[in-house]
Amino acid sequence: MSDVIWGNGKNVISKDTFELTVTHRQNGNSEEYQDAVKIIISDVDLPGLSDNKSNWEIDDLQKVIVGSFLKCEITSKTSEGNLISKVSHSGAAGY
Amino acid sequence: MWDSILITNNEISNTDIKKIISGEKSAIIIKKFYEKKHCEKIIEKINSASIQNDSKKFNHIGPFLMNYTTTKEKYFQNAKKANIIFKKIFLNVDNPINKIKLIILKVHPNYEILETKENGMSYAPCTIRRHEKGSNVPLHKDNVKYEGIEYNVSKIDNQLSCILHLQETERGGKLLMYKKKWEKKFEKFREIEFGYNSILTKNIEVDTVEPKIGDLVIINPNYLHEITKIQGNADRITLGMFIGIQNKSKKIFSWA
Repeated sequence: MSDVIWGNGKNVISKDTFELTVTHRQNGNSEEYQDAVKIIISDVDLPGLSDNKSNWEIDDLQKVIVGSFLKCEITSKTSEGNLISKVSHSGAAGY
Repeated sequence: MWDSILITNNEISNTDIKKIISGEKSAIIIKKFYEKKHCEKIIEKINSASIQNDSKKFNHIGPFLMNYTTTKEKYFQNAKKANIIFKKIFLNVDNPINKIKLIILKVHPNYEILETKENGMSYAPCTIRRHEKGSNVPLHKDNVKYEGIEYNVSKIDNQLSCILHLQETERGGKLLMYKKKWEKKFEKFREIEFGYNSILTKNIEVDTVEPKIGDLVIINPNYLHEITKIQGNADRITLGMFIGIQNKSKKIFSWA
């Protein structure tokens, strides 16, 4: 099971990287995560953003990432400590 | 004063709608909008027929768009199935969807209400929700312009939520409407599963709406709201649909 963290998108750094303010962490994560982390998007499930990474523009990412509440399922980590993750919206589904 | 507009003669006005859109009033409650005998007939049909729920998680009939924010194709597939189910459920009863649309249209005389479609596919007309003893609906808002941006119905000016009470609870299951309109900055108070932390409504004015059979409750769902825990043995059963108003084109859409 991969580690999962949640939080709000802060800054978009590039066409596939952003800063996340971490607010929630899954119980049983294998690692500790700081309150601010850099996320590299490997896979996405966000309303308003195409599945095809090559279509992404920084503006598109800013619209759907900045301020939004996001779930990041971490698949690996770069040598710089950036987290490669699947990113999706969280907490939106109806009851 | 943050309270509901109570209607007893089935006649709402455009001013009433404007008051809930602007946040001057919490809700419009149209008392005895739908006859009790029709509510009971619908419940009887739901209970007796083997009707497939939309998901294993919830005891609901019909897809809810917010559960399909990035899976549009699946939403429309399930909406197609739901349209067939609802036709059966509403056979030989006064069709509640048409009745709700009509009352909304009456206060928007220059508007046209359309059968809402996208690429030839129909949206779900409503969702029938059954909430059982012990369950509640946490603090949340509904805003298709934010979460439903992949859908055409997100291109509206105002969204209304219409809830028809088909079965009332013994106790609990009350709607709490808070005088607090959602803003994007509230996203930092999200709960993982659903909704928002109750810190957002601390010291905020609240209006309570009782679930009474046959009543139609209309709210601006972009104001934070929740449903209290259902107590007693009677389930809270409602029919819910959204109305979208597009002012420039003078069109009204409905979906669930």
